[in-house]
Amino acid sequence: MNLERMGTRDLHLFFLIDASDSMSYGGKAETLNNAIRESIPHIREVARESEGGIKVHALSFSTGARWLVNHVDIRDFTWENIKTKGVTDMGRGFELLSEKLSTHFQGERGYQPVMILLSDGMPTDDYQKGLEKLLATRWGSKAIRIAIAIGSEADMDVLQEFIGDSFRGELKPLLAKNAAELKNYIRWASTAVSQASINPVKPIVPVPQIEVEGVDIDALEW
Amino acid sequence: MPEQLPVGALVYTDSEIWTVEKELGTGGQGSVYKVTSGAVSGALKWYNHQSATEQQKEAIEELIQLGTPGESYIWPESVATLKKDVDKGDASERHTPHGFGYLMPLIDGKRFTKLSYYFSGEATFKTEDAKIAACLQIAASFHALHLSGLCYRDLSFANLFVDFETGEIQICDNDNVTFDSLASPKDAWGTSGFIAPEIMRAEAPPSSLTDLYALSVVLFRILFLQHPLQGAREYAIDIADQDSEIRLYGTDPLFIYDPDDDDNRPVKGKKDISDFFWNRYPESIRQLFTEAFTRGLHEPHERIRESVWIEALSVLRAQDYYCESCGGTLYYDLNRLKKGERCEHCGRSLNFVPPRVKIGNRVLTLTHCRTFYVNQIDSSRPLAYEEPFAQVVVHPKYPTVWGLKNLSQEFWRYTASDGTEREIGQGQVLPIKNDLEANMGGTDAVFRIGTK
Repeated sequence: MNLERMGTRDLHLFFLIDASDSMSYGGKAETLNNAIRESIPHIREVARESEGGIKVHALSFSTGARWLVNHVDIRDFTWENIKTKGVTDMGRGFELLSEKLSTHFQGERGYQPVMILLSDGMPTDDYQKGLEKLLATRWGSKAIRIAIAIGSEADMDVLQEFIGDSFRGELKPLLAKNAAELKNYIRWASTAVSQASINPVKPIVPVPQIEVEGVDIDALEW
Repeated sequence: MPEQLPVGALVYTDSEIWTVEKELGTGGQGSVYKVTSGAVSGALKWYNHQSATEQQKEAIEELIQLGTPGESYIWPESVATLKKDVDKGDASERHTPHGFGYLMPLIDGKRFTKLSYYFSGEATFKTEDAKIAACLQIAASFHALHLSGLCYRDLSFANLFVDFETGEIQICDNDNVTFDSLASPKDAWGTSGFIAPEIMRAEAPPSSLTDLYALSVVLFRILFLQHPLQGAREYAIDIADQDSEIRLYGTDPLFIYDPDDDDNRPVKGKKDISDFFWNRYPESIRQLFTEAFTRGLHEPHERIRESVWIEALSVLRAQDYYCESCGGTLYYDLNRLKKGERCEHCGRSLNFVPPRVKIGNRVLTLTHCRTFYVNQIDSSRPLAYEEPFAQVVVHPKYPTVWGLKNLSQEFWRYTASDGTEREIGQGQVLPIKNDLEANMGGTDAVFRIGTK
């Protein structure tokens, strides 16, 4: 008896992280590093309870884009601090991801991948071109795409474009105004959304409370 | 209201103040915490903003009033709030102002493990008997729930806890239990893979009949590991999403061992773990599951009832024996023995017929540690699966001489070698020999010793 012959499918979880220079101010990068580490045990718990595993991938974009984590099982996943420097080549990040999806994911079986975009600013390159490439891939178009704005400088319209109609068009970008919110959103996106992908017929998807109106920008803590 | 409670937070029930000790888990509706009040520990489910509705609160209050349907249920005990004097507010208000939760018993984490972990290979049943015992208890628990007019709605591996040594079970997440009279398909609820086809097609709400479907999936998966509808068709899907799930489990469901349609068979070498198990269980069990996932897929009223599962699983529990070569657990199946099939554990030919007793058309095996229960012997009492009836005992001086100890209150009768009629009362032993015919409290039985 060989458990591999269960023929289970994996959930692929992608982090797309803004590592531009501005992330180094106000403790944003440190909070993000901490928030991802905090999420790991909770993602592991989701994986334990689901069949198949959760595979983590992460890339950062600043001047150019690079892979930080490639196809690592959540049980073995650890998070290294991001290095911040340069501009916000978000489009290049999308392109790098689309290249991987159109090559390494041929013949792969999985749940709808979950992609979490985290950014604190506006793209400095042609993000639309990159996004088009990403959405032209089968795995990119089928993904549940989540976007988290770190502070009020982020371009919410760009983040909304990234989300598009994924998850039945129910999702809006999340605005993290402080460290506690960022931690909560990252945990929600990596656990509750992963659960929703693994169990796509459960009607209730717990979206965290989002304050849309009455956001007090002056009170932001960055 | 807070979405999550911090450690040290206080919550109030009618008579107690509880302190949040730690988070135990988070799900779609909220989080569960370990809480203490003095020396007493309990578990608290605290609803998130979306789920903390007045309707949910009333449902919990109703369940508390009804009381638990059985020992295996982790049933709500009292409603918990953050303040002692709760704002009653306007009953029509959708969200309760300060949130709420409910207290329930704490599961003994040293003994009980989520059934989910069995499927990731992290936990395994200590014995084959514990595995069947767990199946039996799950069926019996749902039998009791449905008898009280309730339905569970969301049976899955995440809601079942198992003691993998003994097979005892605990059922949690009972806040979704409701009266078996939902009218609208909008009340759909459930976990992927356990949801009945008619719910997947949005044609019917959850009910005791859809619970029966989920029950058959749970039992199939414990015994065969693979999902009964996940064969070639599932394997061919690259990215599983809502549409593919609706096809697989709703509009186009097909049993992997459907006798008339082989389009969805297990995929050799890739997704075929059930092939290891399918033939090892007796024909009667295979037939029952085939019925559950052919006719039962399409005709909810024809689904296998719990009482039928209880009887079949009880009989199965008294049909195991050990391979002469490797000691692996086997199930008695005359057809397999006749065909000279091989042991699935060691590959050697099955040429040993174990000691056994025939009752009507039922053959039960005799092993040195066997206890027989009433419903295995007396087919007029199909639900008496926990009431001991007899026990195999080994003679203290002559270990090859076996007997059957009468644990029932009925008298047994047999004719001894000298032609005399003898009676075996409670606590006495019937000596087993080949071709022995006995009447066990009204049931005729014929014994056979083991042969090669």
